[in-house]
Amino acid sequence: MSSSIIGIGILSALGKNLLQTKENLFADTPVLPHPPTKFKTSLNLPVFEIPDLPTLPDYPGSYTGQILNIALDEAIAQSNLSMDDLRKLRVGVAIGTTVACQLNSVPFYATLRKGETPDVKPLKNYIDGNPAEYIRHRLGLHGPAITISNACSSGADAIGIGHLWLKQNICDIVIAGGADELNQIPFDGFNALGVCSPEPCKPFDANRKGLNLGEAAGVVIMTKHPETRSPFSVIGFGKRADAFHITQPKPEGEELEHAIHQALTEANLSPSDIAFINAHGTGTEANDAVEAHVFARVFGDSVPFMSTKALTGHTLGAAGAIEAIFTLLMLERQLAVKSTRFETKPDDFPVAPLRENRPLHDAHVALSTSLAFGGSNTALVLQYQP
Amino acid sequence: MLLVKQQKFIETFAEADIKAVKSQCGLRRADHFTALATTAIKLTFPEQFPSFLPADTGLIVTSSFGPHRTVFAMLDDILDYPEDQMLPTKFSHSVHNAVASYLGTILGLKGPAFAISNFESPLVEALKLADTLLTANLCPQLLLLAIEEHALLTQSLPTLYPERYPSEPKEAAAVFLLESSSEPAAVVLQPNDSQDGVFGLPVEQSNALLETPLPYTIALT
Repeated sequence: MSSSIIGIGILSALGKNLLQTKENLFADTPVLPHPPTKFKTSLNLPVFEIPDLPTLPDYPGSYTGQILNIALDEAIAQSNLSMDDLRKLRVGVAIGTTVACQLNSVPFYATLRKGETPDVKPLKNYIDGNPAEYIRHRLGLHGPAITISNACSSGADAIGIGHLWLKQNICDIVIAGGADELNQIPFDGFNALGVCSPEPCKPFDANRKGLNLGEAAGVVIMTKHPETRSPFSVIGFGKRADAFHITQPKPEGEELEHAIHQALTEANLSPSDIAFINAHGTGTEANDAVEAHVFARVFGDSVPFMSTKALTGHTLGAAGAIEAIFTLLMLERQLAVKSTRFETKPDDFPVAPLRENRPLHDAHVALSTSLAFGGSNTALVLQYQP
Repeated sequence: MLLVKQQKFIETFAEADIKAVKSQCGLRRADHFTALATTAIKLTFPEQFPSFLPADTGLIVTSSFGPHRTVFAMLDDILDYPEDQMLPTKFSHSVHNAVASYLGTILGLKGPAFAISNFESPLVEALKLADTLLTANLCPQLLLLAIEEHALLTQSLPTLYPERYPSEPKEAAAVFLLESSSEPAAVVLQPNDSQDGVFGLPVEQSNALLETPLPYTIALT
């Protein structure tokens, strides 16, 4: 069973809407990261920021909530659903995030820990701005609503759960996606883990030095029975855990492999049916090695793959959602984009990502993989049928 | 429908139990939230812990506030030390799904694992998610943990947000071992405006969970 995608909204370093995203995803000159402008830092690490979008003060869920709802509004507009439609139907909401699950306001805590009464706005924004719950209330929806905090696979997991809700007739419509702002806490935290690159990241490259963080929001609106036929759909979802380590992926990657096979089996496809893989591809030693070896095992060297994180940075809870959207846009354009800044295949990698853009010919299905802290492995099979 | 094969509600954690679990599971560096979660599982399955579930078992951890004690400990580092001296273990433990990854590793669980963070009806939404994963055959059974820890944030809620939190959310855990079932429901859970029972349930539904003999089935509406 496929879940038709009838609306898409997206913001990232590639642009503040779907049109800008399409232009920059396929542009010859990639967007480059730069030092953060949204918070003060002494660390010289480049990041990918959403351009020209000031923070609205006191927005529920802070900047994460703000960009999530911009993406949501774009997706709703595209879906042609009215607010009345949304209120009358069974509408589920599944949103992935990492930053919005924590109350990490430094000024709030600095006052609280002194035993004084802080400004309560950060606290209320954190609670009242819980991503899925805020959307449910804002739109007056009736259906399940979950905020998924599975770290870097959250956005993909949200889309996968939404797909299952439709398949099991729990919902008529699903709003699914992910959002995360650039925030000093994960910025300092990933630096402390020693996985940030001091230069623009090079996923899968022999000289890769780690990841660049980014910020983004991606929302899709899905249904089983669209009134108007949509060319985009989700047709497979796989989900497994490594049970190995709190942060590192299991090097052999057998549970990523298992998740990929789960998704392919649901989609009734074999590996050779896949046109390309949009990998998680963070640019870290561990992640890229796992994916390269698993892709070689499952797909051989015949299925091309890339990482789009060289264009957007690692957007944490949003990553799986925006990368699912990029995968659909590549299928629509019939063009698999290259893995930007990849130059040299590591000696121990059995396969290498795309060095150049590759035209696709009558390609309809692709795979998007997401791996997360704690060994979470997610695979989505996405389809484009014009 | 969900079949509850085993369950336990824990409102008081003995230091001796926490210490024993930390020693048994090598959790010396783990934070308080992780220690509580692991202790809750051990108290639910004392004889069989830790190797009592098949590897394909799924896992859901639901917590409104998550490891907030550790999040604030990270903010202490930011306020008190140079930026590049944040401790990496503090950051990795502050991630909301850290406890799910600890539990998965200790228990050897490779089925689908989720951490969810809801403030409204956190237990009901987690049970609904469990039902979805089991119905999809992504796992044959699923371990669900609802958990909140006590620390400065939750302690401050009645003062700072009394209209939503007239009293402090308790430090507590609820553990369920679940399967799919087609049997008639013994307990029906339906969220309403009252959330005074365990983990956001209305009191009467919360009591039904606590008092129904095992095994029993739950319907979610």
